[in-house]
Amino acid sequence: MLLTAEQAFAERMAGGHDYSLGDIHVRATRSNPLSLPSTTARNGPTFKPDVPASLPSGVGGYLLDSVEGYDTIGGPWLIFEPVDMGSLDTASGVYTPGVASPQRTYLGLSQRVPVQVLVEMATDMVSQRTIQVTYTNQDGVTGRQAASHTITVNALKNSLGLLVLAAGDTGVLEITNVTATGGTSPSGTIIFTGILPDVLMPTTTVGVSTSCNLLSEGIVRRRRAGSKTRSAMFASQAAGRGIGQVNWICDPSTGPAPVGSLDPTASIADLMQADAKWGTWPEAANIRHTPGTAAAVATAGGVTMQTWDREKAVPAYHSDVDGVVVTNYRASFFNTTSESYLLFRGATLGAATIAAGSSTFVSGSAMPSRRYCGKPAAQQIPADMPTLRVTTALSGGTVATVVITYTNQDGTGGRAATLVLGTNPGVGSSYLITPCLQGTDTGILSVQNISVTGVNAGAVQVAGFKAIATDMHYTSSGAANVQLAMPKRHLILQTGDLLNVAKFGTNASTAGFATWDYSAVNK
Amino acid sequence: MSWATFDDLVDADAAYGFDVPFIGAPTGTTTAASANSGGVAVHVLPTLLGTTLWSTVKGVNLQSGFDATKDLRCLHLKNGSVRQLTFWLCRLNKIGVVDFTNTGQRLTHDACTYPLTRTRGRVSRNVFGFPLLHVTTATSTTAPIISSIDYKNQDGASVTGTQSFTLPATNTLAGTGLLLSLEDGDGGVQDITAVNVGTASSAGVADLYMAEPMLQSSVVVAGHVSQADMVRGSRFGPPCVSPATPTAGSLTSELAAIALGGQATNIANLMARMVEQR
Repeated sequence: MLLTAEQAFAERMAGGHDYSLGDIHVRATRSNPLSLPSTTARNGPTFKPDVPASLPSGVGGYLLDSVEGYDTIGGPWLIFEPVDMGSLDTASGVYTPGVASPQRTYLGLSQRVPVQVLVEMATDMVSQRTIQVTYTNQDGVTGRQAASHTITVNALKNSLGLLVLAAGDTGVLEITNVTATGGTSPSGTIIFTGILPDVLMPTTTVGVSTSCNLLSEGIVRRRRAGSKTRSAMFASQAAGRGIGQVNWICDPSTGPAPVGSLDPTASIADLMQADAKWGTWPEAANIRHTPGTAAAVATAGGVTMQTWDREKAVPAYHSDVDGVVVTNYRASFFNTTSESYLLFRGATLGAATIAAGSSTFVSGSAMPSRRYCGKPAAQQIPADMPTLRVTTALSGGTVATVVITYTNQDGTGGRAATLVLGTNPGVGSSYLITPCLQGTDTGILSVQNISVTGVNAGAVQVAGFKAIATDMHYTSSGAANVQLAMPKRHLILQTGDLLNVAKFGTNASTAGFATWDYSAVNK
Repeated sequence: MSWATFDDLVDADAAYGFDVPFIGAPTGTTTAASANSGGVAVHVLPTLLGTTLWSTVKGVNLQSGFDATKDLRCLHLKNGSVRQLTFWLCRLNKIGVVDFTNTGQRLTHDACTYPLTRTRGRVSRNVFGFPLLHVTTATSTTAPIISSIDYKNQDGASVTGTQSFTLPATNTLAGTGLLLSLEDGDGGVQDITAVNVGTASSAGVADLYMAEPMLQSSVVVAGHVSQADMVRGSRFGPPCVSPATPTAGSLTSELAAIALGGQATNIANLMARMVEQR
């Protein structure tokens, strides 16, 4: 099936929108059902605005066009296609399996998208159970075990949380087993739902509605009649009411063969062509920036930031595809006002270990070459947001000072950046190097040395981050702003490239959720 | 001719588009919803023209002589109010009247036969919307309780409701709007067939509507003007705001603005750009 941009307009005019509604009324405060600190366990109602059940003649499916909604609580909405990954009867402890993430054509290949998993109390819980989920991870490794979650005592129906995966894991292909232990005469049903994200939307202020026009915000979602759509609201457990409208337009079953695009972000028409030809890959990440880390020393030019403790790898794509571009990015951090960046980690540029007050430099890799949309030749990509990350807590001193010797964005070597870190920062503490680059330098191609003074032990590394997209979070409930990928010349990513999500403006321990799409670029 | 291109729409607007002003009447203070009474207070915003609170509430006055069978589209909406609220332009399709002064099934359904239909996504489909109770005579002495409602859900399935609904106060004020509770998984109603009053009040009458959402436009800052551009902006497709077609009988339907989340007295003014798809 194919719907061109022109046809989409005509469908809106002549055919009109079809729609579905979501309506949920929660009468009592929900609980955060999951036990771990800083889980993305922000609970609330779920809508079930299903795709229209039947197709008119000549229509192959529906295209999600826009979403509008209102709630009395305030918090970001996630609209998504659910994957039924099973349920747990907490009374008997019996897990009833669901299905794996569906095998579909994404980026020209038949493959499965690893999903995040929503844990939902389908009924009121009685007593308290501890659950252990076993799953197959994003790489197809079986037998992975999620963090052990102790469900809140007597958690109420509709309480929601996101499963915290094992260290290093970024997604789930299939849940293979769930066990339950503990509790006294427990009862209740827990359902596990995989998330194939459509859009993450803010409600910036209680009382003000939210809306999203998907196509103009870089999101194409083609869906079959009768497929499910749900929404979860994060960031609040309060009682309240939410109502929303999801608008669909028909997607014709016939039309000219899709040809794809050399730049899917050039126009809505290109975006839809790329989707029709290759299929869009929807990505979701459960971001946990834990634990709380050390703030930067602002007076020394430092910028407080946190980086995710794991990274998403760009998936495989068809041999006729040159690579992928990120066409949208939306994120929400549930208890901080901040901004976030989607970052391409081109390389670990170098590292240093500190022992007995002396640091030893460990060589890394230079930034790789990549092509930009619209440019025929690949070029070495400068890290415009190089970041110093503490990999072993610094200790035994007072204020750590780090001097990085590097080659700048123009290939000029012997440049130096000096960072003052503060007192004994812990593991995970991260510092943006960009403001401390020498002179008017804007990036790093490679690092020749790292020296650390002022502390006696620990380790640091320099990550070669390149900004892909950014998103503002105006309120603590996570106001995801609309941003297409930045900068305008879109970097074409390759299979296996790693993406991180960095948060700026706070070093508090937080949880968050981010979504973005990969769209294929024609060779 | 159906509009196939953006230029078609612009040409039609230039040829026969028109502006519809809406001069609001003060709503007066109404009663806030509570957790057991819908969770969200709704203001039905009346126009000064033709409204006699609360027995008669008029919505957007379309041009004199407008043919209701035509495909009228709203291209954009500008609105302002003294409150920071979410606004929704809706078709308020009247289902009937609920009398709270006695127990039992107390819905007097309009003579009009539901479901309503309109063209959606190329074909004629049944219309569904949110169930809106609009108090026209204040309750007193006792807060009435609706023990359950029976309805046709968004798919047309008959549902015997189980959720109770307590009006928020013994004296729930006239003008108060409340959204009735639906069963889990239901997003809307095509029709409501029964309203079972479990606890009566010594006074109290309400109109019952199926509120069919058309477009949304929040007032982000009280006293400021907001706008929703249905052509280039938030919706990217102007909704048809003509009344839907009933199965039989004469439908009472107002193109009305509602505001969600407030009960303090409110007044709203709107300006809608309309054009007919001929």
